[in-house]
Amino acid sequence: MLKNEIEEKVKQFPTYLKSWVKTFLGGLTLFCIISLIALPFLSQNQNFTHVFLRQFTLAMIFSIFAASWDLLTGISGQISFGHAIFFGIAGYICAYLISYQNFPPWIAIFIGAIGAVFFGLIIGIPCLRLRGPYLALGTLAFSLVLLKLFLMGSLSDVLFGSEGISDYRIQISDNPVVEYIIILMFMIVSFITIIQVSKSKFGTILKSIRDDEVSADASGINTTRFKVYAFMLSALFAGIAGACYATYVGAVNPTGNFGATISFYAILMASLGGLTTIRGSALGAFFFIFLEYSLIVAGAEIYVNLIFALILIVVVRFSEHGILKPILERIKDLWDLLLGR
Amino acid sequence: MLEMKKIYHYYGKARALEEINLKIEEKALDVVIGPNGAGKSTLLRVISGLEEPDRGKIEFLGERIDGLKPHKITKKGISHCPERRRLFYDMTVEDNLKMGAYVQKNRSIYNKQLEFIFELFPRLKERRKQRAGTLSGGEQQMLAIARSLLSNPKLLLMDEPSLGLAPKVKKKIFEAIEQIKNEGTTTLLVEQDAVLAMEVGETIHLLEEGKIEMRGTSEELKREPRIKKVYLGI
Amino acid sequence: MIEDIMNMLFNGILNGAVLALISLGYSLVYGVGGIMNMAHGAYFMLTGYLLLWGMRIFPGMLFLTVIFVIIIITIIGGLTYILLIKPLQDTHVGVVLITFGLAFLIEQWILIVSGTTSASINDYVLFPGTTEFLGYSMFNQYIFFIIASLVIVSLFALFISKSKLGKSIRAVSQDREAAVLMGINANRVLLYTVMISAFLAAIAASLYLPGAALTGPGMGWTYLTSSFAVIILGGMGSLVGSVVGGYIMGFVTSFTSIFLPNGPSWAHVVPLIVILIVLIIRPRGLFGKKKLR
Repeated sequence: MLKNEIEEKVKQFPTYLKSWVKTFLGGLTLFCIISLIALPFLSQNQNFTHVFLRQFTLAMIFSIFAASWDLLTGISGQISFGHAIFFGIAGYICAYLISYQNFPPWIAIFIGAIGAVFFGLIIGIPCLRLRGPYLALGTLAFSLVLLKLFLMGSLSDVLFGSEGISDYRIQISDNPVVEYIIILMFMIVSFITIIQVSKSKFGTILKSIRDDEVSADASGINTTRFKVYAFMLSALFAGIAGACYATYVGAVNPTGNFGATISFYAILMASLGGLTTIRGSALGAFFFIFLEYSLIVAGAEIYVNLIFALILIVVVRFSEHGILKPILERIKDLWDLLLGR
Repeated sequence: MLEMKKIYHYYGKARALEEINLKIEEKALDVVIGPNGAGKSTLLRVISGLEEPDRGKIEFLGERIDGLKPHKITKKGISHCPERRRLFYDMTVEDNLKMGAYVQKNRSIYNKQLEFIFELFPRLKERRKQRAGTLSGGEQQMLAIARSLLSNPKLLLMDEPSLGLAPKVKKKIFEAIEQIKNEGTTTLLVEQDAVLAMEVGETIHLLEEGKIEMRGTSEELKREPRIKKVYLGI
Repeated sequence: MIEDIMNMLFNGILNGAVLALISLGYSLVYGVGGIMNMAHGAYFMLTGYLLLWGMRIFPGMLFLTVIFVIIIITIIGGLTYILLIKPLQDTHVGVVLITFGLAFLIEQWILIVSGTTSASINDYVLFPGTTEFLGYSMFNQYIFFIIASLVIVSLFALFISKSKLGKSIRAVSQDREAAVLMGINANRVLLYTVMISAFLAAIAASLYLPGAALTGPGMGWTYLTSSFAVIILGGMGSLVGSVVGGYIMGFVTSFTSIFLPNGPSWAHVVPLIVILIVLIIRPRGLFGKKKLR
């Protein structure tokens, strides 16, 4: 039965793909993916590959992270202010395995992500008693405590203290182009999965819990179980992003990987793009990374977070759906105009 | 005194009120009857500003009040005694009454009104210091009515005051309503119990599926075969 | 040993007094409007820095500076409500995000102006000197603060139960729609509530911090989560609960940091452990009536 269904889906896939590409959103997405794939081959210049391309890699890592937050908060309505927990745990596991146990990076990333899922389970269960804004504070409290544990001097034998782990081997590849391509693959797979999940029956259930938990409960949905699933799934992608980030930096330390600022970045990026629009997270992430980069280049590094905070306030205050939807609408209008529709 | 002109209201896409025209004369006691879910409560909520009508006009004493915030409408002299009483259960009876007089700045009117409602419901005077949540259902309803009278309203809107009460208590409440009317307070009453409603009401409006299907004096409506069959059970 | 016990008791009361004042306002705002103001900890932190700067600029006018700073913070609280919370009131996520954004903005601003390093405002205490009691010496500033905190809590209780505004605050928190039908302007009541909560946080900060230290702009988050733990413990929206919970949390924290090995660093973990235990054993807290929203 299931096999037939899958076969059916596989058979229909080419036609589905064709009609999807013809839609505006599909075409645009495909265009973005192709440009991202083509990008590293544009130039062999050292400056290009080692500086510019790496900013793209960073933006892609944070795209996955922001999308994972959007899956939990936008789609399932569980506000998390402690997403750095998953990001940091996966990064630490990954760095530890590579540096102390000589694991190959891709296995370390995988195990790191699994570790994050485990934390999603542990943190999801007690936090499920909290709703809405309380969950936000509960997760924030969790992440702050974890940060303090990792910073604690007396635990530094186990948790590496404030220095963290640093090792030249913590990297996917010493070639930035290879690194870029691998992270791009991670990003594409993560986004397809998250978007498909949010469209699936599972996603519909999550949305119904978000919109009205009481009636979802009344209609026989085991809301607790689904919320834990949402936590775990979101933690998986946050973990992938966190582990990739550890390999990107080549080191982990408490403030850089567990700091509240990391959680804030996910929130900023995803809400800038627009809640529940998974693709918006990517837009938000790219916007932020390049804004940050240009501010650093301009020597205004200390103003980065201040400007981000201002942008967040303005966007949340004046545009309920973030900036992705309005931008897409403008482009679509232009598109239609060009095609003479 | 109050005039509603072509009022429409929607909940999302579901229509709750459709082309409502309603006129209430000074010192009248009008009753709206109708089945559950016909839009009776919505009608009152639209008047008191808890819901903004999607279309139409509401005039009170010649002034437009639709679109005003509910607390402003209360200040203009419309008092809405909501469905299911909605008391401040953690406050004393006295504090509930004080909240009812929130817009009443004139001390002597407040005292006069207080005297009147204690005469109307002597039980409340005895229980002044008690928490509202500890009162019986009937007493709570009395308190709800008393609370909405303390602002000394020009128009009193009452939503299902007999809901969930024993027949004896119901009768008491309706006697009080008649007395309030005799004191000269214009009243618009929403009531599901058509038999009782027809006893006190002068003009009866029948609301079905958001529309006013019939209206007339209670004598006229009592003669209508459909009203007899569906609402009076004769 | 005796000194340790004295130390624990005194610090417990002190922590309790701080937490009670912060949590009281926080809980009040939640109870009245269902609003979770993430910038509440930032008010506390900002008060400390404004005091530091203010006292550097006007060294001779300590009292005036304190009063002035408290007024500024109260106004900031009011502006938070009018400009950010009120337009988004209907969406929980929106309010949380935007007040979080504000807290982050304030934190970053302080960071730019004064850096991450901690600062001491010890030189600016209103009541310098110490008093000895059973061989234990206590800052006069703290003694004053503890007394002031008790007085403020009592005055607040009186205000909320007896005054007209206090009663209308209670009315809105019990049944907003019914309160509106009485002619109460619920939005204005909420505005006052947020201002009162900022006012209480500012008082706590301006009396407590001069004896302690400003541990960096991030300290706002610590106080935010601590007072969150307190209102989970005391029961959401319960004012009695937030005072009692504040003192319990104060004693637990001071006990941990004095009597347990490595105490001071574990004391940071206490709020979380309390949250966990309460959520598992008694989710509505000590004095909570409502179910969690």
